Amino acid sequence: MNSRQLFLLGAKHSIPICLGYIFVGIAYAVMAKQTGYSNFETILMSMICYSGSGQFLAVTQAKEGASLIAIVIGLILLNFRYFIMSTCVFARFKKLSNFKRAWFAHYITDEPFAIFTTAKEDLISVWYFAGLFLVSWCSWISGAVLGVVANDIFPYDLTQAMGIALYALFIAIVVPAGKCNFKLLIVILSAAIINILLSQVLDSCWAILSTIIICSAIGAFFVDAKVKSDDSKKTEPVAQDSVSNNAEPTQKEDEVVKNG
Amino acid sequence: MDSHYYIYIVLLSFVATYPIRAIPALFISKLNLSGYWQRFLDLVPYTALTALVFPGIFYCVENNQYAAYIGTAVAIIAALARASLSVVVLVSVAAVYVAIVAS
Repeated sequence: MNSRQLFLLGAKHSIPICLGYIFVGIAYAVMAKQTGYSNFETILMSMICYSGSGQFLAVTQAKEGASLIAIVIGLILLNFRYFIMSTCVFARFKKLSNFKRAWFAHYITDEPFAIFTTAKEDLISVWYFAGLFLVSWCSWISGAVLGVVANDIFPYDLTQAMGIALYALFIAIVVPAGKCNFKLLIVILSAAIINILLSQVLDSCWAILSTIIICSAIGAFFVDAKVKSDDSKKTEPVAQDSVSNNAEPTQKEDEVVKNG
Repeated sequence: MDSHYYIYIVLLSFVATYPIRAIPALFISKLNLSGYWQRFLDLVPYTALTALVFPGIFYCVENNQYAAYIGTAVAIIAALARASLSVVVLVSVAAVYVAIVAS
């Protein structure tokens, strides 16, 4: 396949991702605008941060007037999975200049990662990567632009209602995973309870950080959050259009490590 | 509040995210984590998302906690029924909208 065909194939594979990204991008932008971000800041954040859950965290914590250091620590913890995904993606490229590595690294997110690392060997190329990852990135920014516009023209009740969109998305990611892994369900439920209790006594940002560390550290002794191969088929459609987090990528990445 | 607060957050969000993606791309070809730390990292997305949702979701609609409760319940039920991500989000937003308009 020539470079043009590879790019277009990557773009085609990104379509289900784009649909999800545009919708959630709108929800993010509406929420950021309601928090007090300017149009410029809202769109810029989608361009340079490019992390659904990360932006969500930054916006909700800004709403509380959280300290900048707390936001940075939260972002690092939340985005740490990109460290592993980036390792897997770039391990698949045999020859790639450092400039391109530094440039492409910015576009690593969960869903394109899941598709790329499970694609056939002969598709692995700079152009396929560009089609898949760049088009996804553009759709995320389009969502932010549409959201900024929507905030001004949508009725107030509707933008209020859209405030629940990202919360609902995260429920949609977490609940099915808990449903097919009982130990994981226990960790999820205790994280919810612990965070509800901690946020009574701590600022919400520190409560969230403490909950992440406490529950992950204890859970890691007895829970394997990886999706078992039997369950992977069931979660497949979920992984295709989720926007930020999913067990699917970690599982796929594990297979890549084994195979590679 | 500092008038530059939001732009600082936006710029810091880049500083806190980009190196995480770039460092392995440039320097690490393969990462061998021990079992415990691998499981810890696998759990972080779930605990983080859960902590982000609860209790924040209960206060996501201004002056109308019941609408938020209804939206939460609808989202959980739809997710249990294995609806796709977009469907869960849509029905949950619709439920909150109806609840706001009806109250």
